[in-house]
Amino acid sequence: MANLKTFSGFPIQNLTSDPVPFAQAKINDPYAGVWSSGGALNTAKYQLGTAGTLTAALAFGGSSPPYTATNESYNGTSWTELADLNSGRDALGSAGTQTAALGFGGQNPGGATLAITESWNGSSWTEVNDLNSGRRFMNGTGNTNTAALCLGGYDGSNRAYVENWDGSSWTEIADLNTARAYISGIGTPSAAIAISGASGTNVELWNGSSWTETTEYNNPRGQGAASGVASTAALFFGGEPGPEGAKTEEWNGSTWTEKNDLALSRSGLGGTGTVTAAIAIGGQVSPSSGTEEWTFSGIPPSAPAAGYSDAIVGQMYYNSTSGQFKAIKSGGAAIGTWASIASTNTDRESWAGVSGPSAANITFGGYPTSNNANTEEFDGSSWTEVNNLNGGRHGNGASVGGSQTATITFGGQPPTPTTALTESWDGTNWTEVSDLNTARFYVMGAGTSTAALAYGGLTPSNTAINESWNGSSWTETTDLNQAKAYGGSTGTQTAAMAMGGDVPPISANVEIWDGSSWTEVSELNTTRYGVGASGTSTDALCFAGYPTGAINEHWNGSSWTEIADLGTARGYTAGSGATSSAAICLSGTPGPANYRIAEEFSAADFEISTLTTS
Amino acid sequence: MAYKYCTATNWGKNFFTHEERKQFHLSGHPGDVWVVGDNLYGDQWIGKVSGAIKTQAEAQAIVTGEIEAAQAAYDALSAEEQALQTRPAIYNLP
Repeated sequence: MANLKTFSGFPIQNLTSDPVPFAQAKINDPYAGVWSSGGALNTAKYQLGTAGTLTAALAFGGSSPPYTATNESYNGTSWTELADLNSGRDALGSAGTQTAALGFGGQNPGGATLAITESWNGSSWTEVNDLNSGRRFMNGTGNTNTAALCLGGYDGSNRAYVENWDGSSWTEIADLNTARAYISGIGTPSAAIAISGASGTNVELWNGSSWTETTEYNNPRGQGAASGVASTAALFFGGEPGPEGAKTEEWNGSTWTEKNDLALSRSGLGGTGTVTAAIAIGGQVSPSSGTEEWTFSGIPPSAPAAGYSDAIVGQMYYNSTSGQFKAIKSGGAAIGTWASIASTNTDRESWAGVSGPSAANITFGGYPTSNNANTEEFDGSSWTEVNNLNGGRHGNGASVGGSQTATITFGGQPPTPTTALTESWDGTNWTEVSDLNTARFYVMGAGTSTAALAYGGLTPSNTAINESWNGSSWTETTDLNQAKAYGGSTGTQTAAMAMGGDVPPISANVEIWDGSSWTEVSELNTTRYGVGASGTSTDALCFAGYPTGAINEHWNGSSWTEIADLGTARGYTAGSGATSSAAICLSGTPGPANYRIAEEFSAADFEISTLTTS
Repeated sequence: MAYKYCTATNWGKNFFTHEERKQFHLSGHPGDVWVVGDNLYGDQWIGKVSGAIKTQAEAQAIVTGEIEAAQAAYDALSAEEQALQTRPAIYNLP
């Protein structure tokens, strides 16, 4: 007979370390895509046609070698052989889904260029109307088998031809700007992107009537593959037989960003899916049956800090490293801490310009004992002086969402009593660009080097004027409701905030910009001016400022809550940061003790207490 | 970063997982050669896939041999076909 024991109490979890605050958790477990191995094709191949999604894909034709008519479907785990193409071939174009696909062109076992088009209905291939111009090594784009484009290709020469499939026939439309083969196409017949070629970095955008060259990707290579469903969001991966062929880059509609590499470098691969869930199929150096799946993990950018703390507040656990029982309590009001970081090399005081996140910050201008043209960059541990502004000034506004490689500053004092001068930073030098329409100083700023907003300030009277920057010129747009200067500013060109300031009198007023108008929202708990700010129009911090000095308030989209004070009370500070979880507060007055001071805010969203037993 | 080198045949799904790609460096090369980050997780992965440990020189020799074979195949293509492809280039493993 078994021995039975009675247990009292309840089990308690055993952790080797304490939970970390949300901001640290995001750093520890960033939201990122990586490639992992997918199911192996039954037939190793390259130069194939593809359609569908990560969990419902189709791979057909290709070179085994020799040329193959095989057709396989993927369910997210394994590949299953289905009915072959009627015409075996490789270097074909493709479009559609797992159950409604299109395969067109290519070359046959005799090496002849084909114009043949076949339509897949989920169970069999049917020959439909040919391309007008037979080609190989072209590609297609389209998310159905009734609306597709055939892009470029080769028929003895590289071609710029583009044909539109309307479900029954192909029609020639406007050519690409650059004739080439091995294009990866994403999008629809009315809005597409043509990526790459046999080599290089060429990218063109289709707006339904013409092709325009756009931002090129970063790593030159050709014969890669792409995924995505719209011209504004694509993933381009693989493309060379060497290490470059593992590169992955993401297109967001305006720029390319390098992402995690494929495990296996490959060219002539197939690709399908979306930007967040894709599959890389086959390819070579030698024909590959291998596939890789692009999926995401980590804390999504949209995850709220509150959700993270809500999930763990109330937990008790045993920390086996420290040998202590602990409990996680709510921080009550949102909590966090300011920590001193390296001081700047030069005095700034009075409202220097500032851009970027705390760990990659850039600050410029200010007024220590004379107007400052000095620019400094922070690398997370120390400040380094870089090239000066063309004109020293203080009270200058900035695109606070800018970066160490691209930002602008505008307005301020002098050279004339009040200036409209705008300068643009390219990562190395400042260049004078188009002036503000209205000269002013102590002006608030938001946005980036190519899409900024300049609002309020002193002309020398308080002004409500608001101007929008498009990368080359300023345009007046809807004024603030309240004329003010010395306020806190953060956000983007289409979603900005103006906090506090001097009207006069000193104000707690807060306004939010939605891209077309300003709306007054809940006021700060404490009136002040000369403040710093970080975050977005729905999740922001407003810190420092006169007359109170050290107060820091958090905006949750509807109300302000006071949270951790700055370590050093001061006003006329410079502040920035893309989030409310990580901000930087630079310089300030009174001086000279505060002229170079810098503090960094790290959010915490719970408290850990050690339990004692008696 | 220190690496280990092994050969292992990719069996498909779960040969290397999403989580493993976040835990250690992994890159595949011709000839079923894998360059693996030298940490606990990398060691565990080599064991999982029954990887045959190679020295860097041994791994490089396998990769070079495979690329030379691919170069020979490329060189045998017609001029027209060659113009449409990139001749594989021998490269050094990290």
